[in-house]
Amino acid sequence: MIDESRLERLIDAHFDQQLMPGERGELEAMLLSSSKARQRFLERAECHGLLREYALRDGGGKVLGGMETPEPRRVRRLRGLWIAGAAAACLAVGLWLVPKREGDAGLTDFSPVLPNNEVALLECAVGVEWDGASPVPGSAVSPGVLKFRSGTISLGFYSGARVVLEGPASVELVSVDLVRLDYGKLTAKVPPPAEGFTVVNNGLRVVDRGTQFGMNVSGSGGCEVHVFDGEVELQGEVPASASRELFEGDGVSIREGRATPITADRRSFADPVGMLEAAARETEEQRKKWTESSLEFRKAKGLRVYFDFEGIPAPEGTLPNRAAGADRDSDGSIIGCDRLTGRWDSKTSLGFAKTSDRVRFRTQGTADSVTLMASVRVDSLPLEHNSLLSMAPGKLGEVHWKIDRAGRLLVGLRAVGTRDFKSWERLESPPVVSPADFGRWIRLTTVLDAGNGEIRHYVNGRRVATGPFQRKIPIQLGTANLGNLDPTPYDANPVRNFNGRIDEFALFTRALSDEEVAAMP
Amino acid sequence: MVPDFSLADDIVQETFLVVTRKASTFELGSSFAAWVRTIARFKTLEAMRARRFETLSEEVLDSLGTEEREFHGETDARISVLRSCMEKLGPQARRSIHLRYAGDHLPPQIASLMGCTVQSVNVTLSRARAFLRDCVRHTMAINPP
Repeated sequence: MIDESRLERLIDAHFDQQLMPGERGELEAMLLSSSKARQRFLERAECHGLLREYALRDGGGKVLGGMETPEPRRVRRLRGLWIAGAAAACLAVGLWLVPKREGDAGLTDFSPVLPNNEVALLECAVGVEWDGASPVPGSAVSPGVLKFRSGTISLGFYSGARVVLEGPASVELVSVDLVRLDYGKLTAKVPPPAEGFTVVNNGLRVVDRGTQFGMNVSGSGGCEVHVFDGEVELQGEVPASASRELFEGDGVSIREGRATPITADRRSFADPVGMLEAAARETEEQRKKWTESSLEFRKAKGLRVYFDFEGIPAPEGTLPNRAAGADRDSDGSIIGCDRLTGRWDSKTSLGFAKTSDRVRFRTQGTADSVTLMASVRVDSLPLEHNSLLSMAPGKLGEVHWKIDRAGRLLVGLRAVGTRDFKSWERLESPPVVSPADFGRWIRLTTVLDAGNGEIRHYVNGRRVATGPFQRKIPIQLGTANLGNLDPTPYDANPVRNFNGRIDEFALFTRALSDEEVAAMP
Repeated sequence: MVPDFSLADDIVQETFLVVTRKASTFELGSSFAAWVRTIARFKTLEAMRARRFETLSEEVLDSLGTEEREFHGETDARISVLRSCMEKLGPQARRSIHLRYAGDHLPPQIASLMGCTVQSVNVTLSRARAFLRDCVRHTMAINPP
């Protein structure tokens, strides 16, 4: 008789590479002597394989918003091969992948993944040269490895701890209160709610007891801990000579298992103020570049409306149309809307929140093709239709430009007089705004291109959707609303106001090419 | 049979290369799966002889290979069921599974990351796997794809 629980334990140990030499023989004897044991083994192998397959699918960039999975011992991504040719081979080799239908390789990656395991916000990144995944400042990060060759980043952990990291660095975010530092210089500021925040390096655990400390792990394996304020506790593999509790001004250098007391040196670590200043300089640089190209942009061919949202005179609320080719009296009229900051602190934007908020303007005539561009910050998508622009409502040739509840960018051009779905020439993009994008600035562009019979959507200058433009009727310019819609009696959803901010808008009466869209300021 | 993920990745890759290279020598009418399995077995033994890793003996691998067993298809369905089962795990167990299978960490590393003993990681992993196995089996049985 086989000892079942012993067998189970040995099989698990085999798959976790924890078998002791004697145990291997024991497991082998069990497997050779019993078909039941072999069945059990194959069943466990299959489960092991399914879990690995699951982790490779879900653990990659999609879950982690562009980050690697937590530090695989060797970064390998052979999933394509596993699926393409190896189904049968797995039976003999690893049994991790159960046979798979042919023809669906690569198409299974699009299961929606919710950002439910975020641990920190990437607050800022100054002069960072990423090695591998490169998250955008302002985005949330999920557990995983962040690696960069140079520069400095600041992370706000959801536990309340704030970590500044200087490159070259490699760090694994494990949870809201646990970080593994492979190498790099780390400074942690840990307010009382985040007490217990821990940094691990090899076997050493540095546990914060409500304080500020620095940790420097160099490539050669040496590790220094500096306490700037409060107290930290060392746990795990601490050399016997080292004190397990360090207080303000204390430090310890651990190298090859030997500890040397040192004096904490705040100046050898990044200064958070200096970092903020550097970040401010970087954005000011971008801002300056934008201001220059924006002046040039006004003269662009076919530009009929250009709101740069700069220098809005308060309180009467006119938004000047700065396009060189602007119609007379085509300035925008601001109704409601709070004046808020734009994509940079020094830039103005208008905030849209109330159902009344809108910018109303009027242009004349018709156009065969148009290009619409807006720099927006979506704060939420509460409605079925969140209107960016509506033009000539109720008329033949009217345009609706909006984002739906699922974050898809939509454009509709009324091509016939009837009032049904088919009366629209329309294009819907895949979801381009997810909850993770709320509060972040993006540039949306849509081209109705009669010449090429095409409708195109772009996000940040990159094409995200293309569709046919078949019924080429003149596009009606006229009364327009930015961030809202004048409902007609036919509208089933009369409330369509936008929730967020806009800090730039352009309307061209021609189709811009991919290159021109990418080059806009 | 090869417990180390990246080694098995290598073997699969080598097998795949051989399969691609020798595709013309494959005889129609014979079993493609059996042919690939032969190559994979050969590659595995080759790796074992190169002492690149230790696994079960050839004799045991052969006996496992001849064991009659029906393999489940429906990988996509099983993975989506697994995903929902995963949500029923406690945070500790889920983190262990994640570190083991996505992070490719072994129990000693997981123990140091989670601040507990290797022993308790082994127990956590075994229990979590048993739970997931039952959950997937149960869900697939009552709700086949």
